[in-house]
Amino acid sequence: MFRDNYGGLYAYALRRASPEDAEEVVAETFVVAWRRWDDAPRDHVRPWLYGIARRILANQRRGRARQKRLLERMQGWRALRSSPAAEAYGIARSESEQLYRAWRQLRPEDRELLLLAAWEQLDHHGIAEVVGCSPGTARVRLHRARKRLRSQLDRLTGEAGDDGGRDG
Amino acid sequence: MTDRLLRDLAELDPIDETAVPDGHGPEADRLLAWVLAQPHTETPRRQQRRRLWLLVPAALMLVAAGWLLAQPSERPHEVSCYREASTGADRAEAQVGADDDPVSVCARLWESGDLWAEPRPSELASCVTPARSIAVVPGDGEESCVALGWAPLDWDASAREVSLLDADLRRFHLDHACPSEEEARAHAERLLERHGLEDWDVQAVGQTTPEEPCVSIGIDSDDDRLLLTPLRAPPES
Repeated sequence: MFRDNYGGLYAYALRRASPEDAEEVVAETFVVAWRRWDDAPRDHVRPWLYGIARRILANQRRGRARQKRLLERMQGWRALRSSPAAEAYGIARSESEQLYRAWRQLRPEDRELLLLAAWEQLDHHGIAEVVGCSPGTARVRLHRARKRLRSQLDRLTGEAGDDGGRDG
Repeated sequence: MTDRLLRDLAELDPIDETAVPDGHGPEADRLLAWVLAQPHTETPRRQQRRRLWLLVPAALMLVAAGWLLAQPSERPHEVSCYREASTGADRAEAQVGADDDPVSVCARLWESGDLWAEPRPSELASCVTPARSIAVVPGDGEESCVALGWAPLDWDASAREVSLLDADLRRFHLDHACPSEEEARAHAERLLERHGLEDWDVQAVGQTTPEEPCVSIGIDSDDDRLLLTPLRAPPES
């Protein structure tokens, strides 16, 4: 359990906290998991660990400060990491900017659901385990979050198009 | 199109997982040794003992106060009153009737002085844990629940039932890895009846296929319905 999930859990924590905080979260998560191992759903261990880490992060965070860090890290992504895959998908830089802005305008719950699906690659069962709802509810919520993201993105794209038209 | 959206979002991931230390390096070894050195069962046992001792005065107080369910025909719920806003904190269990609210019940336990020495916190928040139980923790509003990874509980009639319905669905899905549509529909209808939501509908969204043979039940509280959606079978453990 430990060795199989260490890297994934560390990545989960790093995405949402500073490296120092992430190490602390990983350590605390494994201690809690060790104590509650009897309760672990054997077919969803990784999401179960994410769920524990999520609660530890929530306890540890000072709400907006952690969220701010996450946003800063996402903004910093473009400076830190080249993205050949993005180019392969034909995603223009401006489109990534728009997507980031659209995502940022969503509610925190929607943002987190989308990240669990996109970054942690979790399906509805996994997301349900992390956030503590039924898989069906997770599916519905994720569907709605996607729709809201699409809607925000369309709105921003429309605004950009309008601006471009005026400029031109 | 939506998969493309998630793929694009994945490209914004600030972490390159291949660069993250795996579970076989020296850092992981050190952490594993430290984790294994932590008490495994002592703390929960100690907590259970504390809980047992806390339950006795709590139960006596409840009986002495004549706190009974106002409507015996209505199903009572169990509530855990947490001493601190932490999932591992000491707690006392009590029952709450349909016409009472969990915060009031726990507030009375705090004020009785039989529970814990310190005075009652100025604010208490009611939450639903992933294990379906209702929890009351010191704190102000929904944020207190969310900070623990729990859902806020709205004790107003229908919202309360929806919260509990969601918890029941979670339990159903834990017990049934791959329910058929027939099973899911029958269970959904039973749950709606149990929670007094007879005016809700159960609707199938799509049909099961060999690729998606399982059915998941989701709540659409905006339109008062439960949605049966086909899912892939969960991976074998």
